[in-house]
Amino acid sequence: MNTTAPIHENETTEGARYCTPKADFHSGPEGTRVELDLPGVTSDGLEITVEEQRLTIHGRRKNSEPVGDWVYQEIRPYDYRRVFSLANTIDTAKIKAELKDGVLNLHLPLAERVKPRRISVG
Amino acid sequence: MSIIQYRKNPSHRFSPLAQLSELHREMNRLFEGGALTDTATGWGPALDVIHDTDRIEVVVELPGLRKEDIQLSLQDGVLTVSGERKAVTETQTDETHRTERFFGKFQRSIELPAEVNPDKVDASYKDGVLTVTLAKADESKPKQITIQTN
Repeated sequence: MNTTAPIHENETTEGARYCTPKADFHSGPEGTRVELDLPGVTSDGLEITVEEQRLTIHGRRKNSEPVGDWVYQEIRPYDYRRVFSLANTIDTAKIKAELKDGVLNLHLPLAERVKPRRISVG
Repeated sequence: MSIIQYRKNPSHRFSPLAQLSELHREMNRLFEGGALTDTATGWGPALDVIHDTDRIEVVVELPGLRKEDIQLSLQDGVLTVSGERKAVTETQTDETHRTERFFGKFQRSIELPAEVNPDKVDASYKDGVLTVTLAKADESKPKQITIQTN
């Protein structure tokens, strides 16, 4: 994504002890919608913070230390983390988030002042 | 990738060729990204397989699915998880910038590491994670043997 986009990646969380959740980005006249896959995360383990125009998503998986031996291990047992920079056209006070079946839906509304407006001629 | 028996018939004799082919399989498994992913039919979700003395647990990451869209089957010691992840269509006016997530049909088959009792299989879907717990068949559980003294 280029820098004029309303949202762009702020830092890479790949590697380290984090998993970068996969995400889809959509934009419409009302703002931007981001869907992130966070399988195994409940609302208790999810922390979304906005500081200045920096949006951080941190998801902890339910602690499920397996009993037994691994035959296959493909699921990386780390926390999810992803950080975005938001354009100042987004009203950070009105961000909404819903978590359902391991998918986080983020609504990042455009600030009223930047929304297209029809001006009537008096 | 072909379906291989998971050490069901271990060779007790020293056989360098068999060991070499085992190594070959292990390498393929590593590079092909784990268990048996059927890439021809779409994407393969990540999974874990854990076992202990009396049960096998299969954990599959399937975010954003409905229970009705997941199928599970067990045949000849092979557990198959399949289904479809449907894309949620919201407002048509929205423009998609970037897609990283997988949608569509998926299928994965795993050769279970031991015989299981097909009547004792539990499956639950929660928070985008499918957990299948299979009870091992009595004959594949380790047995304690008492040593007799004269």
